[in-house]
Amino acid sequence: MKQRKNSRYKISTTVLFLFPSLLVLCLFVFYPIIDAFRLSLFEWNNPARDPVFVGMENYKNLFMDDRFLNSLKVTLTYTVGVTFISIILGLIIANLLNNKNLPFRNFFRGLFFLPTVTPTVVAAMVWIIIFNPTYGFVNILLRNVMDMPPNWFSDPHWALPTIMLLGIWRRVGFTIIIYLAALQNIPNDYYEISKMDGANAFQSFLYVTIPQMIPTTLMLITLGFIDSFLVFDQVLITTRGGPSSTTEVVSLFLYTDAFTLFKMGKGAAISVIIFVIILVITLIQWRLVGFGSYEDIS
Amino acid sequence: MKEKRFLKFGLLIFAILAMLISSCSSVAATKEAEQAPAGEEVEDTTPAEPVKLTFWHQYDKANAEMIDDLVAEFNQANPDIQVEVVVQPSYDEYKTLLQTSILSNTLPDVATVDLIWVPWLVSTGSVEALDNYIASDSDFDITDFYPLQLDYDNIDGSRFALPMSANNMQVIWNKDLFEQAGLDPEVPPTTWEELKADAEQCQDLDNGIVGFEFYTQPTGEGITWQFQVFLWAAGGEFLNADNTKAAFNTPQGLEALTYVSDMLQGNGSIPGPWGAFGEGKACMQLDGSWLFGYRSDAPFDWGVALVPAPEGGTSATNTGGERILMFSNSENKEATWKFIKFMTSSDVQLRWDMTTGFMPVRKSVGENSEYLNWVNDTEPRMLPFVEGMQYAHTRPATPLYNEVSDAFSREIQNAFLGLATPEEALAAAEQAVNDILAQ
Repeated sequence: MKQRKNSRYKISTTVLFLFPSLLVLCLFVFYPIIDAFRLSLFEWNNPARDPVFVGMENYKNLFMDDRFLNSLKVTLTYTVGVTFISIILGLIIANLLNNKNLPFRNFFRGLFFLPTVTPTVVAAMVWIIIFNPTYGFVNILLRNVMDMPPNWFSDPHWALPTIMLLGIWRRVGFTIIIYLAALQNIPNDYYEISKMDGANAFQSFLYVTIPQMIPTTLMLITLGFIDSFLVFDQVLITTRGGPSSTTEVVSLFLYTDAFTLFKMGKGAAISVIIFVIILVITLIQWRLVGFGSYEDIS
Repeated sequence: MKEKRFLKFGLLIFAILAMLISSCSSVAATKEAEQAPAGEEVEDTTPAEPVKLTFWHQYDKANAEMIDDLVAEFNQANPDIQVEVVVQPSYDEYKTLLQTSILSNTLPDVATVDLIWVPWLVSTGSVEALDNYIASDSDFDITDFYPLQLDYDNIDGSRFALPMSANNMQVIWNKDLFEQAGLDPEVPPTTWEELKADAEQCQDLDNGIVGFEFYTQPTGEGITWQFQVFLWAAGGEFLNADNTKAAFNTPQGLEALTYVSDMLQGNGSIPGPWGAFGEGKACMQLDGSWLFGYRSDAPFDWGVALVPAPEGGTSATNTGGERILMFSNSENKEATWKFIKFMTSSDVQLRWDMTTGFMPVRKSVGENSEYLNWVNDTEPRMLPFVEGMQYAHTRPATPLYNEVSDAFSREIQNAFLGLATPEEALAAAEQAVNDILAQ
C-alpha cells in the first residue's frame, strides 16, 4: 500500500512543479508554432485587413521564386562550409592543445575560445571596419602586394566567403572545447598499444584519435548544421544580404519579407519550410548516430 | 501526510495565480488611464485632470532636444493638455512598431513619420483625415505651405498629413583632401565631367581614400533615393504620372546608370559600406541638409555645392522629410489637432528650422528675412540646400513604394558592382518594378 502511494505522490508532485514551465512553453512556443502553420495558408499583406485564405499558394510561389531558391542555396553553402571547416580545424587544434607539454596551454585555450564568447554584433561590427575595402586594415596591408585587393563584404564574389570566415572564426572555439573534453576521454592504453605496433604520431592520430571522435563529430555536425542554418545577426550587420543577394540567407529573406514588407503569410510559409528542413536534417543525423547513444563505436 | 501535500499544492496554485493576476492588473491599469481622458473630453468646464496625448517621433540628438522644448512650451501654454513624447530610436523598428500597433490598436494620438510611409499608413485606414479640422479652423493657413510639399499628402482627395520638416541632398566635399590632391579646395565640380575628373584625381586607394562615395549597399531605399538624384539630373523620370508603370528605362535613365556604374569600377569610386566621408576617407558624397548636426565639428574643412548636372541638364535633388499626422484611434482628436497646429505654425516652424537646419516647408519661413539673414550669418554653407529646394523632386506617393524601391535597388546594384551591364540592369529593374505595380 505504501509503495503505491509513494509513486502516485511522486508523479503528481512532478507534474505540478512542471506545470508553470509547461504553461509558458505552450503559450509562447507551441501555440505560435502551430499558428505559424495555420498562417502560412493565408495571405496577409496589410495589417489593417484580415488574412485571406489561399491554401498552398504561398508555398507554390516560394518554390518558383528564384530569390528564395537562391537563399536556400546560400544558406546551405554557408552551413556546410562553416560546420565542416570549423570541425576539421577544431579537431586539429584541439589535438595540438591536448599536448601536456605545450607551454601556455591555458592561455591558448582562452585565446581560441574568445571569438565564441564575443557577442555576434560586436564581432560583426569590428570585422566591417577591419575589412573595409577603402580604409580597412586588411586592404591597406594587401595594397602593398597587389593592385586591387578584393572588396570583401562589398564584393559579390567575396562577401559569402568572408561571412563564412567570420562564422568559422566564431565557431572553432566551441568545437575545440568539445573535442578537448572528448580527447581526454581516450584512454592512454590505446596510444601505448598503437605505439607498440609501430605507429608514428600521424598514424595514431588517424587510426586511434579519429575513430574515437566519431560520436562527438556527429554531434558537432548536427549542432553545427542547426546553428549555422539559422544564421542571421552577422549577415544583417555586415552585408544585409547583399551585394546582389550573394549573402542573402533564408532567415534574412524571411525578415525582409515578413517584417520590412509585411508579408506575414509568406513569412509564415518560409518559417515552416525552415522548420521542415532542420527537422529532416536532425532526423537523418539521429538515425546515423542512433538517437541518444554515444556509446562505443569500434 | 495529506496536509503536507495539500499545502504544497496550495502554494503552487497560489504562485501561478499571483503571476497571472499581476500581469492582468498592469493591463487593467493602462486601460483605466485610457478611459479617463475620454471621460474628461465630454465635459465643458475645465477638467480636473488634463488630457494626455502620446506623441511619437524619430528625431535624434539636438533635434530631439528641440522637440522636448517645444512640447514643454505647448504643455505650459495649454494646461488642459499634456503631451507625452516617446522617441523611437531605430528607423526599421519604428516601422515594425507602427505595424504591430495598428494590429493591437495601440497607436499614439499623433506622430511624425518619414514622408514615404504616409501612403502606406493611409492604406491601412488608421490615419485621420485633416480636411475638416483645416476647414473649420479660421486661423490656419494651408496655402502658406509649399505646393510641392502639399501635393504629396493629398491622397484620394483627402489630406492626411502636414509637412513637419523637409530636406534635400547636395554634394559635400572635403576641402582638405582636395588640397592634398592638388585640386583647388574652394572650387567644387559643376558638371558631371568635372565631378568625375575631380573624383579620379582625388582618389588615392593606396592611402584608403575614395574619390566620390556612392551609396551602394545594402539594397533598399538608400540606393534608390541617391540614384534618383542622378536620374532626375539627367532628365529622367522614376515612375509614370499615375504610378502604374516604371519610367526610368529611357536614354536618360541609361545615361545616369552608366555614369554611376562606370565611376564605381575604380574610375573615381569603388563600392563599399557607407561612412567613408565621415571618417575623412572620401573626397565627396551626397548628403542632406540635416548634416549640420554631425558635420559641424568634423575634423576637416568642408563645403556644400549644388548637385552637378550632365551637359545640357539641370541640377536636381530628392526631397525627404517628416510629416506629422493624427491617428484615427485617438480619443482626443480636438486636442491633437491643437498640437499639430502648434507644431506646424509659422512661428514654431521658423524657430524649428533655425535650430535644426531643416528646410522651410512654409513660404512665410522660406521668404522670411529673419530666416535668410540667419542662414547667411550662422551657416552660409546651407545656401545650396535652400537654393536646391526649387530643383527638389518628390518620390512617388504610392503604398507600394517600399517594395518598388527594394526591387529597383536590387537590380541596379548589379550594375554598380559590374555584374550586369547598365542596359541589362535597367531592363531587369523595369520588369521587377512593373510586376510589383501590377498587383
